[in-house]
Amino acid sequence: MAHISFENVSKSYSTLNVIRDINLDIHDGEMLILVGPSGCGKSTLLRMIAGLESVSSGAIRIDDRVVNDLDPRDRDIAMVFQSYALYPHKTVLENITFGLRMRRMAGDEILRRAKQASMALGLDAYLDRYPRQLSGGQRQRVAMGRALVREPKAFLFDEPLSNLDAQLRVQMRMEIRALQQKLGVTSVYVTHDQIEAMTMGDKIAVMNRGGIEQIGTPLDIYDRPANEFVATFIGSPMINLLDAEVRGDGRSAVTPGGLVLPTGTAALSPGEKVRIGIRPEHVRLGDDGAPGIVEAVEQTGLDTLVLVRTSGTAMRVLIRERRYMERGQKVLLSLPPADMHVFSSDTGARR
Amino acid sequence: MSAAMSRKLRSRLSLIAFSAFILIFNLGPILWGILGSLRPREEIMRFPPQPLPSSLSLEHYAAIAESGFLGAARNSLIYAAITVVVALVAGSIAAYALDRLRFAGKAVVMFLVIAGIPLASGAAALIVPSYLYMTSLGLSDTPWVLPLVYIAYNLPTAVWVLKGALGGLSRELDEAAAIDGAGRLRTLFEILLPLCKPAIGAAALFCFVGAWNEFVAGSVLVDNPDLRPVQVSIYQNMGYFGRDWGPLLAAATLAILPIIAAFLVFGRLLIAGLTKGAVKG
Ligand SMILES: Nc1ncnc2c1ncn2[C@@H]1O[C@H](COP(=O)(O)OP(=O)(O)O)[C@@H](O)[C@H]1O
Ligand SMILES: [Mg+2]
Repeated sequence: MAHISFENVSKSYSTLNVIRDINLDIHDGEMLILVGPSGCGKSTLLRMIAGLESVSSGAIRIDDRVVNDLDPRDRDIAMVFQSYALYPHKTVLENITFGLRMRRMAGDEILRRAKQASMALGLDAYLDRYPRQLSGGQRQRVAMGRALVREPKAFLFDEPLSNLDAQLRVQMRMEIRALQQKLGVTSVYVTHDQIEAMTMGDKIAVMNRGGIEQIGTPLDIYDRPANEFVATFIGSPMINLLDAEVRGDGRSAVTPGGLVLPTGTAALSPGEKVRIGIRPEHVRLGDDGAPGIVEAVEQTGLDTLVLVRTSGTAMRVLIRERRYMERGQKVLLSLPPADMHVFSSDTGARR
Repeated sequence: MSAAMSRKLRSRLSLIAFSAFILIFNLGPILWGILGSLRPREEIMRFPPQPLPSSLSLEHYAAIAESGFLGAARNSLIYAAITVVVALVAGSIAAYALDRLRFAGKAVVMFLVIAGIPLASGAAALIVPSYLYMTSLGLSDTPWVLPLVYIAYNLPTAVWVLKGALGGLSRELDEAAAIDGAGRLRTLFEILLPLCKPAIGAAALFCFVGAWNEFVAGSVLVDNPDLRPVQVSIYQNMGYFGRDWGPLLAAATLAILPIIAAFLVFGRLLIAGLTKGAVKG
């Protein structure tokens, strides 16, 4: 168990800056999710914790010890790779215990831990098999087992579920989270899947282009995105973003098409150019409000996603129930002021 | 039978016939040699030739056993074994460095390795410098000289073959091993090389056959009959027995056996890799 911190950490490959001035604290026992679009530097950041990538500047600390120049094996961390990186010529048992053997642990302690981990992961029946004789889900568990037996200071996960089918993914993400909470081991979990991000972490760090856009609890980030990027990246279906200009009263804004949007509590000056974000589930279809016309309807079985055109803009509306609607149907949209997110048009930052 | 099927059958038959022809063409001389080595002396050069010997005799084998052939064969086996072991160990370490590490002058080293490959087959070009070099080191006509030279000849091929195989293995294996606490050598020998069995088999075959079949260096760098390798011994039998083809054929037959054995041993690695090597995540 450990506390991991980044202080002004940067990384570049020759002229390419892939990690830009990161400051980050991961507390003891916490599970931090690194989420962001592909190529934003999540894996690089994770691999810097592991010692698989060098640090160009700044300091990474594990338990207040600077580890910048420490070999991976001396950092006492375990990692689960996206490809699992199991040793193909070793059995499940050998895969799981290799790290313990390398650390010259006594044979009976190795066996005890292997047994414990394989019980926890439901692998006991497969200990003599080779990775190629296992299903994807089982391989994933072996990769987990290899990390578990080490009883390391921290777990690092690099998109460990992305090779599994959707059902297994849901199951594994619950199992991983439960295991992490039971063991209380500090963990960093990389994913580009925002559902995983929302459901698995104590904290989320949203990354973009090598920097961290926002850190916070999942609901924090969902309810108060720090900027346009975070607002659009987190949340599915995607948030509606509308260009608008603040009206004379300073409490509402109007789109070029003439749609008037309340802006809630943000302190805005008249004439300011803003972008208003409103999540699809916050738009209500009701008895009054702005008139619109249904353009498309998607039924998921659980809920209904409707695309409504109003005052020249298309708005995604999510209805938390099954609703039968038709293209061309006339509806009225109401927009509760409390659920509006206002971003500066220039910087994208929250106002 | 439809026209398409009969056409298919015909093309398959002609393929079989062609393969059989190639096989006989290639194996014919070897078979003739083996049969010849077992014929009574007076039948070997008889015209017209008889397909099968009238009786089998081991007299030629007895003759070469007395002529020092077995000692030479044992020498060559030892030379070849040392060559295989050292070339594989040194070659895999070099291949690892060339594939996985970054160091100054890597491109130059790699170029030299590649440039060294053809020298293994055209060793005659190297014989004068090799002789001068080994003599100046005081190594010529010692037990060490031939293994050393054979290792030098065959190492580039081993490095090249092994580097190709290592290059095909995911870096994540190295990284997983590093996190598990394995050092570089441990990673190489316990994680990576077991996954390169086909390449190891191929490299071992090259080295073994190269060392076993080598003639020029073997005839120049050692004088002592006790150090003589097998190919030189066969050649000298030619002079020793005059026009006596029987012992020569017997020696040549025996000289093929280790190569067949090497194929059986190392070839198994090759095949193993072909059938079950692809263990993708
Ligand atoms: N060895 C490398 N050399 C140059 N650029 C690299 C290297 N590794 C990664 N990058 C670049 O760094 C960026 C971040 O990569 P990565 O951390 O793998 O992103 P993510 O995991 O978020 O998808 C990418 O733009 C990638 O092209
Ligand atoms: Mg990645």
